[in-house]
Amino acid sequence: MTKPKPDLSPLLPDDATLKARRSALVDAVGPGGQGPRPAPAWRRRGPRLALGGGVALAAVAVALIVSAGGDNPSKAFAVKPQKGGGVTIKIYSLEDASGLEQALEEAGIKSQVTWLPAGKVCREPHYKPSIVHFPGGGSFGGMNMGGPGGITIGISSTKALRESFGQRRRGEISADEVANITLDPEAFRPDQSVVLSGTPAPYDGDPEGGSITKMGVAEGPVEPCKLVPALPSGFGAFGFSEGGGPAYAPRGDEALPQAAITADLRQAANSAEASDTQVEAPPGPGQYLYAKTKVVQLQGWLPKGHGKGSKTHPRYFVPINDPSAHYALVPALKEVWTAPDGKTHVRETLGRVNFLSSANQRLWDDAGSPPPWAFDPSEHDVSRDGSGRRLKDFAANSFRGRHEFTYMSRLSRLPTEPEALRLAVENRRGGSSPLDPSPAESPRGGATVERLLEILSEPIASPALRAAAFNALAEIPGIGFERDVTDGAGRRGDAISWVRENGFGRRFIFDPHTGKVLAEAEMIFGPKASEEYGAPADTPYRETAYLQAGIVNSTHERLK
Amino acid sequence: MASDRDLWERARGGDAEAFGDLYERHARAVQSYCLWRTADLQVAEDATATVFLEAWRKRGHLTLSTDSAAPLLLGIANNVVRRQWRSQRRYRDALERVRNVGPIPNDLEAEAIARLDAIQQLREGGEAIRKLPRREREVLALLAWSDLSYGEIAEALGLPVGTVRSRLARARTRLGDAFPDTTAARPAEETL
Repeated sequence: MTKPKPDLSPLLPDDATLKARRSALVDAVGPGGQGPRPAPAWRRRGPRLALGGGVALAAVAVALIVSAGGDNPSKAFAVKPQKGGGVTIKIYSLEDASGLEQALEEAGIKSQVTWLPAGKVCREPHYKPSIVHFPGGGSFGGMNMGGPGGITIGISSTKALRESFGQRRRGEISADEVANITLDPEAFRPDQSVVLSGTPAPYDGDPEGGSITKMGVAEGPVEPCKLVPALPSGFGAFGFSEGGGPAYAPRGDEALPQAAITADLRQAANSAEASDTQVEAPPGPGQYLYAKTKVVQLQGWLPKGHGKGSKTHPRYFVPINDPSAHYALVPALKEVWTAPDGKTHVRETLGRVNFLSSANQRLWDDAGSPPPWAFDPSEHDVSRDGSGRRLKDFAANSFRGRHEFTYMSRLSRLPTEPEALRLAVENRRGGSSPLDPSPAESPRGGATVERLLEILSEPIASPALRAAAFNALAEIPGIGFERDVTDGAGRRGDAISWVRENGFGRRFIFDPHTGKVLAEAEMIFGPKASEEYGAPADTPYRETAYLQAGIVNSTHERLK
Repeated sequence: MASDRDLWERARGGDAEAFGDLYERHARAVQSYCLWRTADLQVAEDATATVFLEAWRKRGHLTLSTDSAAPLLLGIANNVVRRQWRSQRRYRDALERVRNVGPIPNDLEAEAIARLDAIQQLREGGEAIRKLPRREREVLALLAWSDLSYGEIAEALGLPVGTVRSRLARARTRLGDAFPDTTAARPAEETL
């Protein structure tokens, strides 16, 4: 009669997540839910440490603990046989690493286990990452886990695992009996081994109330772990856009020595530290976050008779990919009022359209200055302000939706120690790949720089966080640095810039005297892009200049 | 294994761990239902947590009249989805804590693609139901997207079984061929 129901499993929490959320829920509703918090539940039960989070790839690794009783809390871990063969190893505390290595070895898995002091993780890379392929499909390349609770590792054949998974699905085995990850010794090649590390981490107000554990698969020799500062707790939910790319290269003043760039960035950090926060906290009920920006876009204008699109409503302004178009920078003042639920009220006011050549400017003026499509009254609800400028008001949702302010408050919880901050944004994707902080050589490094710059662009970022971001940038070699550039609002500053192989790139302009990001721009830098679009090098094709941000009480109110 | 009734009674007495057990048992069913209703992962995750926080807050007034806690929880879910923002505001701090917990996937892209596919299917699969008038939509959504029987749906929505039936009949007329497949995995009881 109808289509079968779709499989929702990618949208449902896996066992480890479910357990972690359960514990957070129990904490939230338990006696400590209001007022002072008790120690996390797992600690009260005796065993100490390390909760499991993620199982990554297809072989949803779940196993069973056969006996629920008989745990010996005084031991760091307990090994129990499984019904269908194999064992489970339940870890209670981050102690006796060599004992655990031995237990894993006896069960058929070679490993390096490193338990680290609070606040430390192993510096990557210290081994060559690898992927284990399970018989009959599925693979495992590693996982990170964070939160309260205790990790359980299962070791059994994939066949036994699948059978027990079926029992689990049919409800024959309770969720309490599930391991966080199950490894099949048969799936490992002789040169493959498991690399496990873990550290206590802050959880729920307790500096060692939770843990971060990380499991990877190595190919060949594993170097000893070198300690570096750990990630903050709650890092798992922190998301930034992906940046960088394989063809990413720093752009800037090549005569500038690295030491000078470092010194400038450190100076910016000092300025940031001494400056104020634009927005102290997200808006409360009845309040709005007001943000004013100037957005400048490169657009092409097609003279009358050359319009694109429908015959009745031809478009005369087009994106910059039409060789017959005359290019202009189209500025708009954009004001956004964002309510706590993520709904926004937006007002855009069109500024003076600036053609790149004065001949084209005259041509456009003579044609009656037709407005860009976005402000065309036949397409949109456009009115005029007191000075005759075209404007439009509309309601929208913030691009981060109702999570706008969750995102912002997470931002405010990032560490303010430069190395920890760098690791927090760098390790976002699970930290299982080799890390290379250099933007010149690796996409990861590029993404790190971009994320640090995004932090700097957020109005809620505290002086300490912005200082940490600049100091973290100062530690990254090979950053493209441009001195004395001008933003779309005519303000001067220094810039961190990079260019991709296709000639397009990005530029973040900041004020070295306040450490504030003035503008970010997507740029036409290289000859390739410049030739293709007939626009001179160093032209922004889209630039956002940050003018003002703050909390107001209505969608009519602005900042002084 | 303790029954839902035992766990609920213990939870009513303030036993947060028993309540945690109920969460583990039913969170996926509640989330599946919220996913169907909202076709938005983040909204559904928040709604799921809200359902349990709401159940905890109101536990003193709520008794289980069935062996399973599912009708009770899905009934709350129905209300939470209907008044999403209002319900969630009450639990802002707690939601924040539950939301922050979870793993970091090793393969974000693969996971993201799987999720997008599933969301797409959800949107298409639930489109017809989401267009129904509210009363019919709520009844049909529970029938199609939870494993509740007619009696349990009546329990969840606080309606007589006859009303559940008549609303379903109206929805069936309205939807015609688009009426969802509700035959799968259903206990025999609902043929009554």
